[in-house]
Amino acid sequence: MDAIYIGIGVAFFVVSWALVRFFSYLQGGK
Amino acid sequence: MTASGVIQIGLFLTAVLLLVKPLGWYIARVYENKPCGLDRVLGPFERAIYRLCGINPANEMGWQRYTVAMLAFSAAGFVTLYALMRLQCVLPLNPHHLAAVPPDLSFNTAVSFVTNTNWQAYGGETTMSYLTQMLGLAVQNFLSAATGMAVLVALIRGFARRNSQTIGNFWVDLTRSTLYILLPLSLVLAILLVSQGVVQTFSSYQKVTLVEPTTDVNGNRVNEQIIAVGPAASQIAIKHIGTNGGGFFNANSAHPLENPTPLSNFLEMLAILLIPTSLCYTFGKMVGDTRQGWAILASMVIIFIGLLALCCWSEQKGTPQLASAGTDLRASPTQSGGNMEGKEVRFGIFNSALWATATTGTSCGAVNSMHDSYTPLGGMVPMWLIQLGEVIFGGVGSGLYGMLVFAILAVFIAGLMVGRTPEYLGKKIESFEMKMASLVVLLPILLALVGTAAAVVTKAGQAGVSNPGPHGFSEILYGYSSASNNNGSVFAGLAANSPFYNITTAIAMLGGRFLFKVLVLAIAGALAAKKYVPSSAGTLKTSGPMFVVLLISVVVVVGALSFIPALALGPIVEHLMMIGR
Repeated sequence: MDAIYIGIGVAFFVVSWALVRFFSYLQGGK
Repeated sequence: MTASGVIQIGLFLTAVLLLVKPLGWYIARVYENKPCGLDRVLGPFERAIYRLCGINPANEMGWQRYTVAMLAFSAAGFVTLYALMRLQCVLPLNPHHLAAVPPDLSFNTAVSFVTNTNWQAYGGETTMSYLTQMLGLAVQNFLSAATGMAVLVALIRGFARRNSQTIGNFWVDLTRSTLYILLPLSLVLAILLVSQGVVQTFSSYQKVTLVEPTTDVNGNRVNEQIIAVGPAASQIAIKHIGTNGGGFFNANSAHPLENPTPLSNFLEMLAILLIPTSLCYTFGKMVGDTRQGWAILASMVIIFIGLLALCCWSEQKGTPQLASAGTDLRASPTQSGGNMEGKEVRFGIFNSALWATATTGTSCGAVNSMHDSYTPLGGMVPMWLIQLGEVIFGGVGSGLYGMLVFAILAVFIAGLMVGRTPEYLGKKIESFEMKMASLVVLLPILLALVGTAAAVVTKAGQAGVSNPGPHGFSEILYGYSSASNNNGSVFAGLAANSPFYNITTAIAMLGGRFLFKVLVLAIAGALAAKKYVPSSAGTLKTSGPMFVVLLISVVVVVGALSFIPALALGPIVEHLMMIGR
């Protein structure tokens, strides 16, 4: 269970990081 | 409304506003890396932290690096806090041999404290060891608050800088927020709270003989009581200074050892609003025009006073049901009158309503009365303040950056009216910033309403409701509004310690905190890179009364359009049912 809960939390931060890349691309690919 | 109540509120707001300029000036000096008075004492510690962590404070970051640093730091905090709770049974400073916190509750609590929400699905004195409270929860109280302040200062730099690819250094902002602002204020407040009787001890819980023995539910005679104590004052200080809100004890600041006297109540309320209000002045100072900060603060104060008046009036008026039961609802020198259910006698109606309004206008969420027991309209006030995005006055950092996004929205709407590209503080607001700002406004609304809908239609969600009908719906709506806006207070009739609520509210908290921050930092980066546009005859003046009215209108209209349909199913219909009986 611990791995699942830690995985959910960490996955969320990874998704947030992916959004940073996406918004950066939207802004002009920097 | 009683005269003494109005005078108390007036004195409180005067004290808050008198501190705005000196503290705001100090905070601006801290973030501009100028001498601020504490440099000689704290400078060596700051430099030692940088050396130890390998940080070059002169190394500026673009918004992407700044954001990734913030996310990585928060992810590490989440994993550490989760591990601490799961392992507390084998770690020291656990005199009562409390068991490991269950996995779903650990997940919820770790997310809750890393996101500065401090939603508590547990009772502190029966669940958390002293080590977890001090090393886990109190530390996150500092760090999550400092993270919010860092994001705000990055956004302010976005407005203040011209043609810049950088918005500061996250590690420096985090360190300076903690070291120069949060720690000194918390130290002073903790000492003041101890002077009022808030406990600060490593002693184990005290077993005492009751002065008046009683009987339990089974009719057995009870002669003894266990009184929980612990290192509370140090955690309670940052709980308010950092607008965290997570109580050491389950009853939060209604507990006599967490908030014993009217003076401790005054200090704790003051601490909730201290940094959020002062940051408005800091904002004005850093963008080179303090009138901009005063205009934002004026908007906040006007909305705050309006909603506070509604809450006080509703609670003082009481309910027809209390009146028909023979309760004396009139205020007198010997009693508060009104609806005192769920309120502490030592605080009365006004100090409870003032606290409820302050704790939900900010992202604090600490309580000194039970919001679930408020009248329908009185309870709707804290709920709607949360739903407005906690921009009145907001959390440490998080409220002001939310309000600045509303300011961007306001100048955009004004620009649409006159057919002109909107500008704010000399920066043109264009397509990218508006997309991000729109998402910032919509995100917490979406999380709150989708979460509520999911709970209402599922058996797992319905299982937590102890008051069926409109009030049960209000409990769920309040819960998800609180989680997605990182408040942490609750209509406590909702039984939220279940895997369903622990997981879904955690997801709402994560989204409401970190996706929100990513969007705000994207705006900061875009603004910093823009050139400065001098104001002209057609520029909307953003430091005058007209802008204050416009900003208030935008905040209220967005909040009303988003939530009145849901509120109509909860507190509004409950109020109509109450007066129609």
